[in-house]
Amino acid sequence: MSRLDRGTQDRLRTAFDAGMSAETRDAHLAAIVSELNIGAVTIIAPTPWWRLRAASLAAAMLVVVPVGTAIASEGAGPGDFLYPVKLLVEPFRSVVDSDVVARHRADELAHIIDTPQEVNRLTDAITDAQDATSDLPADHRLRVYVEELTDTATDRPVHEDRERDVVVVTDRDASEKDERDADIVDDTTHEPTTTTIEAPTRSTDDTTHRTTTTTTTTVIDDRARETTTEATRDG
Amino acid sequence: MSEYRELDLLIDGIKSRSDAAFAEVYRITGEALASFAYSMLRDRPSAEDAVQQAFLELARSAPSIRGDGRSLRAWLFRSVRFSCLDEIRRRGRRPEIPTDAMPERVDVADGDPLLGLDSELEAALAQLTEQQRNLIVLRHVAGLSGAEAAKVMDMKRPAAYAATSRAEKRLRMLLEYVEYSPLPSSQPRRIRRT
Repeated sequence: MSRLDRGTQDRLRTAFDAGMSAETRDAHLAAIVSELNIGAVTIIAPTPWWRLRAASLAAAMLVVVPVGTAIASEGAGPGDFLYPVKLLVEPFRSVVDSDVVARHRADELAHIIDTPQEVNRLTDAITDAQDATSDLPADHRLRVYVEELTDTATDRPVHEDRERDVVVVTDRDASEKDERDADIVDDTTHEPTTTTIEAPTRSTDDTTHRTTTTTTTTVIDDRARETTTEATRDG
Repeated sequence: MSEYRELDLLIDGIKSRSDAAFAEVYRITGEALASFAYSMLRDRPSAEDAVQQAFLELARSAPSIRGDGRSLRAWLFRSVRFSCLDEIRRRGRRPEIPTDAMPERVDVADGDPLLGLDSELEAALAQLTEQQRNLIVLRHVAGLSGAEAAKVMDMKRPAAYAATSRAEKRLRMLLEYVEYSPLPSSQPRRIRRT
């Protein structure tokens, strides 16, 4: 049995009898009525636990999601889903890191140079990188880096191939194209590189008094710097 | 009509901030609230202030009060408990129970029985924890149910029942010990609450 007996309960009630006087009660009631008569009521509702948790979760999400997205967008390049986020965050980051924009553009340019599939973005990337570093001192490491990347990009074989393709498609028609494949032509001038000189000479035999014409054909290969002479006798 | 039934009928009046409803709730619960506050503070004026504070807070929060009469009663006791804890914290020290006047051996036939019994009770209660004392007072002085006491003490219901049972058992043992084995005169004269 764990309950207290009635005697102990009575002793407890007696021991803790506050014994409020009638004056005290009246004063309390007057204060309560006064409080009730105040027009503007400030409601202090106890907040349910689930609402507190939901508010905490929402507050955490408000911090975690934007920060996480900003961090995730750090490695995004032009055309990526998070690239606009990266551009959006850059002005805020530049408050504490003034080189962030230049560094990002330089990194993007380096990435495009290393990725042949992205070669069509190269021109824009170079322009953007140069714009981003134009305000930096000439000897700034990012500016020097971008200049080196630009040099690397313009010297690339794939770049030359692209230029040649453009020339072929725009400057030559189909017959010239076939001709180029058949003949030895200079890629830049489209002129033949060989020169043919035909020199006929006439001579008379004294005994038979017959006249013979000999044609000497000389072919000069400009590129090989060689001359081939061939004589054919006529008559 | 039981107190709970009366409070159930008054809950709508409380929500609508009716003077009469508040006066009636004060009449029903005021004394028990004051006893509970007094058990915590051991100071009547401070206990009365805690009761008034609870009703003023109820007046401010009335429209948001939910539940029935039992919920209202538990809400008031909980508010009083927080006021008392604030007061104890404000005082910066725990109240000490003087036991100088405690008789070494109580003989009901020889002296004032009420005074002797109260002193024994005080000494026995001083051996309980604050939580145990509060549960004892809530259950046996204020007349709250186990569920209400759990709500007032911010405890899970099974934990409150178990703690109350342990407190009652300990109090019974302490009272029996005082009655049949009086403390020797060399016993420390003051017992600090734990």
